[in-house]
Amino acid sequence: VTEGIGADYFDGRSARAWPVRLRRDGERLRIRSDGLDLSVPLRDVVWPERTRHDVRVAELPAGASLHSADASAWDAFARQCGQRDTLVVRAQRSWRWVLASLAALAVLLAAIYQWGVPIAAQAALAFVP
Amino acid sequence: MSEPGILASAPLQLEASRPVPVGPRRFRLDIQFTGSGSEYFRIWIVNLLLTLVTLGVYYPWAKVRRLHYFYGNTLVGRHPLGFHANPRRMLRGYALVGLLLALYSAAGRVSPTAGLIAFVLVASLWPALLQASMRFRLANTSWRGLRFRFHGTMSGAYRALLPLLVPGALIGGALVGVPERDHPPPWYGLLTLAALGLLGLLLPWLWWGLKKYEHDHYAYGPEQTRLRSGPRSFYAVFAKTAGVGLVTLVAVLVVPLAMQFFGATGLRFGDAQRAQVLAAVLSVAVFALTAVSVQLVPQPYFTSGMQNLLWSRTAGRAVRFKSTLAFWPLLRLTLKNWFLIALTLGLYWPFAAMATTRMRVEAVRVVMWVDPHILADIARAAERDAAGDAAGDMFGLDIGF
Repeated sequence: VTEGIGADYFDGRSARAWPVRLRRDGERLRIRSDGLDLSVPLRDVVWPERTRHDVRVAELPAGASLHSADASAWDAFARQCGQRDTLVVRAQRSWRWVLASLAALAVLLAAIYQWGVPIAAQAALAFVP
Repeated sequence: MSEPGILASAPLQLEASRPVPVGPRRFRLDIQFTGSGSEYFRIWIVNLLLTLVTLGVYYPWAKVRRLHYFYGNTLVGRHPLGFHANPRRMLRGYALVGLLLALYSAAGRVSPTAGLIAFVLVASLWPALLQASMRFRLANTSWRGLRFRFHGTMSGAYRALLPLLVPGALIGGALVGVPERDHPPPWYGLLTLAALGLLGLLLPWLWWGLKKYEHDHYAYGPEQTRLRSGPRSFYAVFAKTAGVGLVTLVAVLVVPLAMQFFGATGLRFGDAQRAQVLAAVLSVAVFALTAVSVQLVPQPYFTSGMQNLLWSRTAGRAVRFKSTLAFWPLLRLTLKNWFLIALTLGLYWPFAAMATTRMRVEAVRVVMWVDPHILADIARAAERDAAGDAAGDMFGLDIGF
């Protein structure tokens, strides 16, 4: 079996790594090696969020998982399987979004200090017998 | 949910039924931490903003993201740890614990008796929450596709934790007996002092009991760890930490003496005003230095001593850990971290967290007398209750991976 990208397959019951090849097969993910041929619906795969360094780990049903140390190959494959970054992941990956979040955080903290603390103090006073 | 194709995969199940042979060959697994400060900074900022905007509801999602990042970048023998908790479940746990704490603080306002009853109630639930928390955390942590397990029983948790609550109950109980709360009688002050002293003397023993409970029950595949240490080594770490604190305090107090000397020299030369300003500036600096050094120096000393003791004495049938976390590098790192955190008004925090985690995690090595490849799970961990995880975090109890 040589087609598709390489990954390690773990069945969730033993710590053995099975080198496998992954391929998209319509709406299913095909996992193959010598002596192993699995097919999982794409929607049942829990895809990993994209970060910079770490090993990509996708969770399959029944505790099984796929590990890939080649992040760029994995990300290309995930895109090919219709995976898109969530809004949070996109925000985390962009310095512009992060700086905007930081500014929003500063404004929010200032607002809480200005108006939130007196309101909370009033509320607490009302409870004290 | 389960996919028949996976359950039926015949070649994969052969390994599970075979007993694990323990051989003379050693497998040394180094631990590597690949987390980066700038990347964690971005995760941290987005987490903070979303948690604040949602009034805390997002917190479990933030926590899962954070742990996912820490675990995913911890490579044990080149394989990352995995974290699989369901944030929605954790939210329920946090809601439960939040309710408990709200009731507790409300009861304290009503009367000391109600406060004591609430304390006893929360205290009697606490060990159960810790046990559930450990089970939840371990059951949601994986390595090489296998989940960890926690085998500690609930009665074990009560045995380990209840002695910790005795001094608190003593003080609370005495408070009920005090007629005028604004002018407590002298015996009340003495009793409080005695309870605190007792707590100080017993703390290493209590800490040992808690850690023994935790480290005696970590399980992975067919392995279960034990803590091979008595309370004496714990007393040694606590005593040495106290010694380091004392030495630091003395060293810091030498500075004001030198300052007075220089202040006096200034006076002798007639420059009185300058000497006074100098003295004022120096005394502020000394105060800050004293407050800071009591915390900053002993804390990394305790961290390194305790981590080395705990992990070097933790072992299973075919697995051993070795921790060699040196004090001086950790002290230098801690000082640098706090300096930069103060300088950047807290924004350096995620970078500090990454650097500290790297140093602490990479100081640990794992030695196995069995090929990790052939380890298999004997029984899948079933219990996954989020309430405990929430509680463990809120009370500041967390395992130090």
